[in-house]
Amino acid sequence: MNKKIVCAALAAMMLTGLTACGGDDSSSAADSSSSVAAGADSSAADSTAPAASAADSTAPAATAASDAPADSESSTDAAAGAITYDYVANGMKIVVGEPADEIIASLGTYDKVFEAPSCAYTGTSMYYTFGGLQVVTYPDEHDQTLNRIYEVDLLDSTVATNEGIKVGDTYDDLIAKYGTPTQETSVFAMYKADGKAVEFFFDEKNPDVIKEIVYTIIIV
Amino acid sequence: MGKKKVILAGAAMVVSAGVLLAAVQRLLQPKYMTDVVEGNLIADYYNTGMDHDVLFIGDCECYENFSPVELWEKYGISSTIRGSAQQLIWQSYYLLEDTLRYEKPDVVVFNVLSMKYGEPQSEAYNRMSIEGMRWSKSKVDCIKASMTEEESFLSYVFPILRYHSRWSEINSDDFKYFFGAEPNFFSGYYLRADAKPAENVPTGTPLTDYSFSDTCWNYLDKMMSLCAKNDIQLVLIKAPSLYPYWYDEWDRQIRDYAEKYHLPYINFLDEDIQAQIGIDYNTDTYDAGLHLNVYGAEKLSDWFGEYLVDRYGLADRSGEKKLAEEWAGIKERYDAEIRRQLENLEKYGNVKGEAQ
Amino acid sequence: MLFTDSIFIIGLIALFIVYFSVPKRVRWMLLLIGSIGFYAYSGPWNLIYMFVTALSTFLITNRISSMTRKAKDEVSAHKSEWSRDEKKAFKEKAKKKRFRWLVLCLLLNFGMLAVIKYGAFTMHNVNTVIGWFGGSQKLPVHRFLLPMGMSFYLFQTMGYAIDVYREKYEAEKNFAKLSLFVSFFPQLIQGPISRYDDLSKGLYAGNGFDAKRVMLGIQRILWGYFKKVALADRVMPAVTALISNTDEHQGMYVLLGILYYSLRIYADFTGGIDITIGIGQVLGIPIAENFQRPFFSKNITEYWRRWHITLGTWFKDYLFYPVSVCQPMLKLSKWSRDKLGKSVGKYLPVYISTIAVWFVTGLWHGAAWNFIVWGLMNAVVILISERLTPLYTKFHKKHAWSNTRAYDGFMALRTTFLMGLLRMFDCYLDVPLTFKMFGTMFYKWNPQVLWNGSLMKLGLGKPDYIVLGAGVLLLFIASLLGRRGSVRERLYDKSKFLSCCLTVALLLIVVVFGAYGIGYDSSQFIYNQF
Repeated sequence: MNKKIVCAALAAMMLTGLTACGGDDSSSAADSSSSVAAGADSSAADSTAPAASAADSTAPAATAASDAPADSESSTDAAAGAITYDYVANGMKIVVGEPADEIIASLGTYDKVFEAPSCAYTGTSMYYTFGGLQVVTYPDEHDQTLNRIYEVDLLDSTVATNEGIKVGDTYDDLIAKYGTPTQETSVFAMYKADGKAVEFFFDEKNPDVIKEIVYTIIIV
Repeated sequence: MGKKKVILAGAAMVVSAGVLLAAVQRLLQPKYMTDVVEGNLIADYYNTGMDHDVLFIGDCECYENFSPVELWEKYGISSTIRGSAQQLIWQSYYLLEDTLRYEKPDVVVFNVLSMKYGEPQSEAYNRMSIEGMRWSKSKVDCIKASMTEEESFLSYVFPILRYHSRWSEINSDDFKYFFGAEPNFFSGYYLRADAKPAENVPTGTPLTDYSFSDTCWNYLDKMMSLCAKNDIQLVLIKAPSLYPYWYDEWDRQIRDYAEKYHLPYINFLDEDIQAQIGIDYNTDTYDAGLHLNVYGAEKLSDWFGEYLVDRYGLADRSGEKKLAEEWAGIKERYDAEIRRQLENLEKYGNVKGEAQ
Repeated sequence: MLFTDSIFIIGLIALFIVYFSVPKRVRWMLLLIGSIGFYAYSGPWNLIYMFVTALSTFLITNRISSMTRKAKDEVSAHKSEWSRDEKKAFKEKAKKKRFRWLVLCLLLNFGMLAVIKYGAFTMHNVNTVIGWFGGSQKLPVHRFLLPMGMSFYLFQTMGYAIDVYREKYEAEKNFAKLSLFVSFFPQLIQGPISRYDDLSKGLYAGNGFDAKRVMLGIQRILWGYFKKVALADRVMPAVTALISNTDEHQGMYVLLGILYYSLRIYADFTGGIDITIGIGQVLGIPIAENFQRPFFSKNITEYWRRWHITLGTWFKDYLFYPVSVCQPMLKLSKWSRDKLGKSVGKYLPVYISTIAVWFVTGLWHGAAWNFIVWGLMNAVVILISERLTPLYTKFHKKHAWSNTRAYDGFMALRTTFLMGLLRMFDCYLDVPLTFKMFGTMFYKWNPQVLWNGSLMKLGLGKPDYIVLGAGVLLLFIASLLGRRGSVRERLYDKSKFLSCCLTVALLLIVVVFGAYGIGYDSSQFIYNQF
């Protein structure tokens, strides 16, 4: 589990580099995090079996497994039961950190696009806008032709989260659907679990009303 | 074998192994000539005359937005840029330390975008920002401050430990530039002559925390006191790049800091200043608002040169023969590069001259 | 600390230089300091376990030794007075007393290992059994972090204690010297499990500088690093991919897994041992060989004589024989001969001892059912081939072609494959999954993955395959040449210059083609967890 957290943290850390010289450098960690995470998840189910817990030795599989038991602990900080951290659009899950091309294609024709090439490198971060939905991608560090999802933004009231919250809704609407936030201030409320987060930002002038919603990776 | 002979043979073996390893290391190190030319920016400084009035330090918003050639041509100001891709604030600080070992400029200009990074970011950019530095305590400190978790200090001392796996990617550049790179820059400036209008530039996604990290403030403090100690005027700027997004909340913090310590701070995103400079984001940027092209950079330099002369009375040094000769050489390469890029643009549709 | 840590390599070079510059009589002390430092680096608290082992063994073996001396003195003092039976009775009694001390020593130390390494596993199983009987009360499971190499130094030290009890030699009277035997750093990571009488002389002697020996030692170290970083670490991502994503990697992939994992564990383990023995060679300390071209073995019994040799002989000397000739076993043998017939009576003790040894061998490798099943499978294969020996003999007599070198090669391949197959038990997550994956080899026919580019999706690229291919070829050639004595030694004797070239070339190869640094996971030596 430690490994997983570190990877997610690294990924997140490097992802913030996205806004660097326009591009980013992102991350070996991003893809290793997803693979490690996958490994750990697949074995988590068996983590109570003696083999998995004890054989933290030879086998990489077993190693992954030994990381797994802590999993259940970390997910306890998720607030309400059924919050989803992957935004679903057109029946397609948009998973932050995962390859982007197929997802972008499934979203249909975008209204606007902005390209931000990485400094010095060939990869490019992309900002696609589909109505009120903005999807941001970044290039994988090792394979700059591979784009990964960086962030999903809900910009206006035409799009709502999987739980039905949209821009313009109030703080009370949010709490009713999502429960107590993991973290909140006067300007935002955040729900997080397993290195992912959904963040609700409130209007400065009208701090009861949501002005933007962001699905992202969090920095641990 | 006698004892002496054994020692001699042993020494010979160790030395030849060392030489061989050094040669292989040089071969395997990236040459940054065809791709990712930015990797040579930092080392390029040591080829200059090291007699500068103005030193720019910062990231790509420095080395792509200011044209030292223009500053020289128009105001007789000798300037250089020590910047590299995603140069973090501590890297800028240690480069300032490093530069002060060779010369003492009158004005140091620091671009504040890197205040947003409080942690080491990317190994690749670290390498490009640090490896070009000559060895000194500043470089050692810079490495220590910059290393990401996966990096090791030893691999900066012996880059072969980092680049050994490049054996399968060796190409003609690695042989051609074995003994050193050719100059690609113009006193630290990376020149682009193409244009791409800025459209659909996204506004920043709101952040949960806008405060800069203590690490960054510390290095800004250090930078300030190092300048004060050396009687150098520090000028803080935010370059006119539209992206990455520069938040008002960030701007306020820098403004407060500058006010507190009586430092000048120019935010070139300010609409009044932009109007004075006359930047046109349809023609003066080569990548849709991220960086200026040479036309934009010259406009910006024109404005900034005047500011420097007005404020700090920088003298016109165009009469100094040795300096003038050096700058004439740079200017010649500068013009040639613009011509080359324009020809390529016409022929191939891109400045690099790659067939599409 | 691992052999591949830069701090280890720097420390090792420093140690070599200092070792040959200090007076000979203090050289062993330097080794002790180095060993303690090495172990402390892996976690200072681990030193406590090691200290308990060293101290308890020191006190008890000295106690046993002095009891032995006293008993002998007593016997010679009463030489004329006592009858033969009296002498025998006295000796028996004295031996029994000494035996109690030995048992105390073994219980204390193996007890420590049992709690730390097997405590959680045992509790888990007890809880499972409680669960079967409907119990809801669970015993608490506390997981200790296993101190590095504990199974190695503990077995080595206990072997020493048993030898003292068996009067093979006297106990070491210098606690610091015994501590060095327990903690000698090159052996801490992956063994081998040395014997006191083999190791001690070189360890304490304070050896001079010998150019040839040092050169050969350095070459062996570099060869070990080559296996470890260029091959074992390089193939590791593919092994991980193959065994973790088991839904996708079935059929032909299982076969690939066997191949890759065999390469991985062979290069990792023998590479580590090469480094260890090479360090010993530089210092002038002969360390026992642990491998003898195991993949050239014609059958499994032979394989186990050539793979992890020191573990096998340890179990043979300190477990198999004692179990075979212990009182209850002799009684059982007699009973079975009387009741079940002569042939069964003859085999039963051997079988029971074999199974016991392999059960423990499995357990030694890890506190998990994977390892136990793996051990027992080995026993099964060995016993079956034992039973079939007459058939084999007949077969070889009848068919002349079965005595050719080609057939020998086939047998070696067969053994290597079979061992690779069994090894997958400690690779896949658990036993049922292992069987399931083996099953897919029969019903999932997908040889196309070998040529449709799937091989490139396992975390290895073309350069990796080039290095792996060339490396395996090199290993094979070196093994072939090595049958006629040390290649390095022959080269050195032939030309010192070429020997120097080999050293430099090996260094260069390791540095350039090693899979280390950014982009590679520096994985641990597999065997240091046991």
